[in-house]
Amino acid sequence: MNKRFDILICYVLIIFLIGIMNLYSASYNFAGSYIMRQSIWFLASLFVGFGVSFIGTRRILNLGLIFYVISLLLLILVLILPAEGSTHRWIKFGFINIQPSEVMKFSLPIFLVSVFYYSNFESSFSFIMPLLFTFLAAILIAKEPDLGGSLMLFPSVIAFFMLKKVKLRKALPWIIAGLIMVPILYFNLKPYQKSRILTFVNPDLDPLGAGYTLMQSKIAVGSGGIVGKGWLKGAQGQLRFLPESHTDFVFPVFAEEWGFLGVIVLLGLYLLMLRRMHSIASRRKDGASGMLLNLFLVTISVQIIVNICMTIGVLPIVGLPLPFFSYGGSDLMVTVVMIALFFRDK
Amino acid sequence: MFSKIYKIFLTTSLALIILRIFCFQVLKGDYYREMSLNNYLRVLPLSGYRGNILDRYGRELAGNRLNFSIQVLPDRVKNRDEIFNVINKELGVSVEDLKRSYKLKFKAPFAPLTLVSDVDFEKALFLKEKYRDISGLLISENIKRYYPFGSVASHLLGYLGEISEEELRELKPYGYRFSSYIGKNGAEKEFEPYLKGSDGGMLVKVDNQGKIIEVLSQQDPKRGLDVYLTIDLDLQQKAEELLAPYVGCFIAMDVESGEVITAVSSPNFNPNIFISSDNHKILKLLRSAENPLLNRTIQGEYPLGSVFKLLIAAAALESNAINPGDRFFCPGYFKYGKHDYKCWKSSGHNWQDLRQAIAHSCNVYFYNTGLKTGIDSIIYYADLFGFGRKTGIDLPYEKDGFLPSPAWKVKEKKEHWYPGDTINLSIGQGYLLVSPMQVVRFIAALANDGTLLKPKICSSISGEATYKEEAEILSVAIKNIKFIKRSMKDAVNSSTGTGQIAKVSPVIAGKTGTAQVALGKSHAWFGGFAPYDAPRIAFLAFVEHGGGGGYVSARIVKEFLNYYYKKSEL
Repeated sequence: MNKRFDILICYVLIIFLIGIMNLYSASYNFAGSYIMRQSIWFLASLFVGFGVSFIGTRRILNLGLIFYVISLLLLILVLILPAEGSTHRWIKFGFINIQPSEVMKFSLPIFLVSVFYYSNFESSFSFIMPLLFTFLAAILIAKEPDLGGSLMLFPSVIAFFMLKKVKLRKALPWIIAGLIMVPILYFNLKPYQKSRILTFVNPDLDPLGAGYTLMQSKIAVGSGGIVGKGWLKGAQGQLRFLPESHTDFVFPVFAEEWGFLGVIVLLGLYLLMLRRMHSIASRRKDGASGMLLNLFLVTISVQIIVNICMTIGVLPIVGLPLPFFSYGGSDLMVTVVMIALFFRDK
Repeated sequence: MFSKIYKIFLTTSLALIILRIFCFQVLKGDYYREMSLNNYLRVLPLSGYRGNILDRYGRELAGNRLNFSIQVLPDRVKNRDEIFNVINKELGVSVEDLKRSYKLKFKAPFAPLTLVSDVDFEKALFLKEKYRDISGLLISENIKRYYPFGSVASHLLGYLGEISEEELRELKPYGYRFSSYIGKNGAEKEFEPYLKGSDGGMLVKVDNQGKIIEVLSQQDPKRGLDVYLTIDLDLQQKAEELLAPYVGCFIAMDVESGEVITAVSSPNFNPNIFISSDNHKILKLLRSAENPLLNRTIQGEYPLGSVFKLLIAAAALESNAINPGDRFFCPGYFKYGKHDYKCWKSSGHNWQDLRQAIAHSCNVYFYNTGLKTGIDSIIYYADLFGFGRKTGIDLPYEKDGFLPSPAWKVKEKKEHWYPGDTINLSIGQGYLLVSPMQVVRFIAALANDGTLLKPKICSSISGEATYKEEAEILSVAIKNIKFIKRSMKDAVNSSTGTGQIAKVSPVIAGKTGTAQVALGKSHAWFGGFAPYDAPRIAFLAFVEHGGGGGYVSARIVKEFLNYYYKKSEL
C-alpha cells in the first residue's frame, strides 16, 4: 500500500463544492432535486474511485480489451433501445441512467494503452488499428447523436500517438485523411448540429434559433462584469434565458454570478488540479500506467477547455459537460474514477 | 516532448480563455449588462382612462366602457392566413376585409393592430381560451370611449380617431403612442389635454417565455379630467328632436354668462362609429351630401336676411341717422336708380315708423334707413356686434362668417361699392355671411342691454371653473337697445307682427328672417330672447331652405320654449 494523501484530492473537493453550489443556482428554478442526486453520484463516485484505486492502474490495463468490448456493446445496445425524445444517449438501469459514451471515454484509453503499448508505429499503415477502433466507437456515439461525446475520443488517441513518439512524417497521411474526412462528416451531421456550426461561424444568422444559445451565453458571461451579480442573482440563468444552464452551459451561470474574479479563481483551481495530475502522471515509473494517466489527463483537460470555449464562442457548440460542474452522473463518475487512478503508484 | 506540448497547449488555451472572458466581462461588460437588462426588463404600458364629458348637471355624455378587440402583433405572426381564417370562422368577418384592414392599419411590426373591435364578452373569453396557441393573435381588453346618448350633442362632443402620423410626431412627448386615440373635433379635441389621462406603466422582470416574474416598479395611470359642458341634456334632446326633420341648427344661450345651453346641428352623427372599426360607416358619414359632420352653429356661413334689420336699426339709431319716430312710406317696392327693390309684402306697408318696421319686417323702411345710415356706419356697428369675426367659442374649427365692405369689393371684385349693395345689406342680403353663433350672440347682446358675450360650451373642468370673463360692454345707448327690444316684442306679440307663430307665455321677443338663396327655397331664421321682461336666454333657430317668413324656425322656437318654460317651473 503506497497510497498516500495527495493535495489533488483537495483540488477535486474544492472544485466539486464550487460546482455543486453553482449547480444549486443553475437549477434553482427547476423542479427536482438536482443537488441531491449530484451529491449522491459524487459520493458513489468517491466510493467506486476508492475501490478502483485499490485495483490499480496495472491490473486495470490487463482488462483493456474487456473494457472496450463491454463499452462497444453498451454503445450498440443504446442505439437498439427505444429513443428518449429523439436521441439514444442513456441506458436505464433501474433508477440510474448510464451514458455509454462516457463509459467509452474511460475505456478507450485503457484499451489503447493495453493493446498497443508495445506496438511500434514504424509504417504509416500500422496506425490503422488504433484509429479503426477509435472511429468505430466515435461513429457509434455520433449516431446517438452526441457529437461532443464522439469528438472527446480523439484527444486520447492523438495523445497516445504523441506519447508513442511516432514520427510526424509517418502520421502525415492520416492527418491529411482526417482533414479530407471533415467535409464528409459535416454532411452527415444532423441539421441542428450543422446549424450550431454555421451559427458559430456567424452568430447573427439565426438569432432566435441556434444563435440564440450562443448569444444568451455571451450575454450571461459578459454581463457578469468584474465581480459578478452574486449567487442566485444571475438574471440570464435564473430567468431561464440560458438554455441547458445546468448541463452544458453551466459555466456561463458561474461567470455571470461571480464575474471575472470568480472565473480567474475557478480556472486557477482547474489549472492547479491539472498540473498536479500532470506531475503525478509524469513521475509514474511504470511506462504503461503513466501513459494511461496522461491520456486521462488530456481527456479531462480538453473537455474543460472545449466546454468553456464553446460557451464563449471560441469553438462551435458541441454537447459536452464541464467536469465537476455540469449535472450528470455518468460524467462525474468517469471523471472521478479517472482521477482516482492517480492516487496509486501501481 | 509530450509534456512540453501538453503544457503549451494548456497554458495557451487557458490564456486564450481568460483573454476572451476579460474582453467580455471587463471591456464590454457594460454592453452585455445592457443586453441582459433588455432581455429581462419590459415596460408594459397601462393606459389612463379618458375623462368624462358631462352636461351642466353632471349627466354623462361621453364616458368609457370595457371593450374586447382582436389584435395581431405583426412581428409575432407566423401564419397570417391561419389567423384570418380563425377570425372568419368565429366572427364571420370576410377574409378580404381582414386582409384589407391589416394592410390599412399596419404601422410597424411591433405595434399591435386591431382587426376586429367590439367583440362581445362571452365570445372574447371563448376565443382567448381556444386560440391561445396561435402566435401573434391577441384578444385584448381595453377601455373604449362610449357616448351613451349616441348622436345627441354630437357636434359639441366631437369624436375620437386614431392619432395621425403628424400628430404623433408633435405629441409623442405628451405620452401618445402608435394607435392612441385622440380628439378630432368638438369638445373631445378642444379639451384633449385635460381629457387625456396620463398613461402609467409597469417595469417588469420577465423570463424567457415573456412571463412576468416580478413587478419592479409601477406608475399608476392617471384618469383624465372630467369636462362639464354648459348644455342641459333635456333641452338638448328636445331641440335635437325638433330639428331632426330639417337641415339646420338651433342655439340657446344664457344672456348673462354666454353659456350655450343648447346647440344642435342637424343632421347629426353618432360619434361611437369613429371608435368602431367599421370603416364603411365612417366613410358613409364623410361622404354624405348633407355633411352631417359640419357643425352648422359655428361652421355654417349663411345669408342672414331680415334678422340683420335689427343691426341696421341699432346702427341707424346709434349714428343718429334716424329717430325712432321717423316714418317712411312703403308702396311695396323701393325705387333707386333704375332698379326696383321689393318689399316682401307687395301691397306695401304704407307709412311705417321704426318700431312698426321691425315688427312687420318692412324692407322698404330699411332700404331708406340703410342708405341714410351709410355703409361705413353699418359696417362699424356690424363689427361691434361681432359679425364677420369668430365668436371665440371654446370649440375648434369655428368660421368667421363674412362682413363685406367697400374696400373689400374694390380689392376683390374690382368694382365700386354701389348704393344697391348697401340696400341689399340693409335687409341682410348680398355679400353678408353669418354663422348662427354670431347671430345668437348679437341677439344676446340686445337682450342684456349691450354686453357682447364670448359664448362658451365648457363650464368647468373637474369642478374648477375655467372660464375667464371676456365680455365686451359695448358703448351703445341703452335707450336705443330697449327700443329695438320693444319692437321685437311686437314682432311676436302684436296682431300684425311677422313672428306670431312663436307667441308663448311668458312673453318673448323675436325677429323672423328669410334669406334668399340662389338655388332652392329661402333659409328660414328666427331669433329672439325669453322671457321679454327679464331675459334669460337668447335663442336662434335656422332651417336651410325652410321657406319664407321664418315660419318653420318660429315653430321650432315655440315648441322649444314651451318645453323650456315648463322645465323652468319644475
